[in-house]
Amino acid sequence: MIGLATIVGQTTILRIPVFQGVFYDLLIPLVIFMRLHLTLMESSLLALMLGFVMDLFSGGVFGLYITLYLWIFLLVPGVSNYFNVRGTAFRSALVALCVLGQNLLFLVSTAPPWKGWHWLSAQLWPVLGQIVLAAVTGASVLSLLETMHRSLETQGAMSRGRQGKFLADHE
Amino acid sequence: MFSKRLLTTFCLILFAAVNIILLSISAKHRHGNSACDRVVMAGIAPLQEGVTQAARFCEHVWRHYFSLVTARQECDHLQQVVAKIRLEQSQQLKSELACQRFRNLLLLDTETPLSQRLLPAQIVGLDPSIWFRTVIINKGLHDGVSKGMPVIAPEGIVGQIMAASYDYAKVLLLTDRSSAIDALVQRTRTRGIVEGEAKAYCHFKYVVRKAEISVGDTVVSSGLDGVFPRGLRVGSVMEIAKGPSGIFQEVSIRPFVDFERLEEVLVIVE
Repeated sequence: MIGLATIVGQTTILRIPVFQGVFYDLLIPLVIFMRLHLTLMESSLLALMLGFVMDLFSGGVFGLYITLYLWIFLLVPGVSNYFNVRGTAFRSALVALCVLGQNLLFLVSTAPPWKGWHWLSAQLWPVLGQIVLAAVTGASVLSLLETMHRSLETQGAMSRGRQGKFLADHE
Repeated sequence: MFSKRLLTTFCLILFAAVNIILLSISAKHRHGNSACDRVVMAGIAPLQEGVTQAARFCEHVWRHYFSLVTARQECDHLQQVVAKIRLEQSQQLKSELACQRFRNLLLLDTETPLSQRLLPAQIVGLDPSIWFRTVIINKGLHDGVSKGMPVIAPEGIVGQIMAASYDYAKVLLLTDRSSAIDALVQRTRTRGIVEGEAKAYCHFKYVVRKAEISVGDTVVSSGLDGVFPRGLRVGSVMEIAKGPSGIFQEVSIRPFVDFERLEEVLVIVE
């Protein structure tokens, strides 16, 4: 549901001219979060689905978003373990790095070197804006997702506890 | 036999290679329109439509509240403009009647008016990335829209349909890098190809060096690409650069359509 709401949000209100294209792909922190907190099967399926839907609404080559999310999915645990850091700065850097990776992937897919790079300057500022915004807000978005996840888990546990107590009372 | 690190590296390289191959295949069979795509689009596009409508409503309320402050001044100004337009209108009517008479004299076949083949649609979603320029409109196969149909606005060409689901369709905008339109300069009939750029302007490519073009010239569709009818306005010449050598000149065009503020479009359904 969060993924769906994010897709709808970033294909409507977050793309209006007021934001000047500086809003980065908010599904990136979501994919990172899923990889770090959900099971392998759940997170891989969700990443694939989100990538598929994003590809459908994007004008690029089909498979770009799937590729991106799968690579994030593959590399995040490795990077996370390698640096063995869980601090805010690391999380922000991780999100910013993924946003940079996304833009590089899209750049290569839309403007291969043999077609020239002269138009790159037009995209430079929005991309820099996205990276800076990701570095500033990435950790907060991840924390928000974790808080929501914890609260849902607590609610689930409480509900299971109540159900167990109810069954024990009736036995 | 192999260390774990070596195996991981090998797997990653293999995955990257497979990935690149699959993307290349996907690029060749671009913009597929499978049943699965249509179902997903049909599921999500109504949500986009709802959010877009809500956002537009808020914007509308906001704009109208603040516009009250200057409404009086604007009203006075508009009255003057209306008077001027009325005068121009009467002159145009006179010209139109004269034109009609000349046409009858020349026994020209009157073509079907464009307005009879236009389908109005609203933009409900935008491309999630800054690298591509597409929009989602609320008309689809059900309304007679299909892949390849031209999309215009009163100001000029918007783009063409690249995929359509039952009730929604994706439009590739004129400013997307993969968009190309066969066009000509209205004044001199110089031909070229209008290609999208990352910014809000386009390139008018393959214009021969000796061709006479000046800043401000209007560029219209030539009708030779088999997609856009002849004579649709594309944009005006913004910049011309002639290098010391080469057969072509570099021409930049500013589209007549303001893509940042575009809300409604017209699909030419035949």
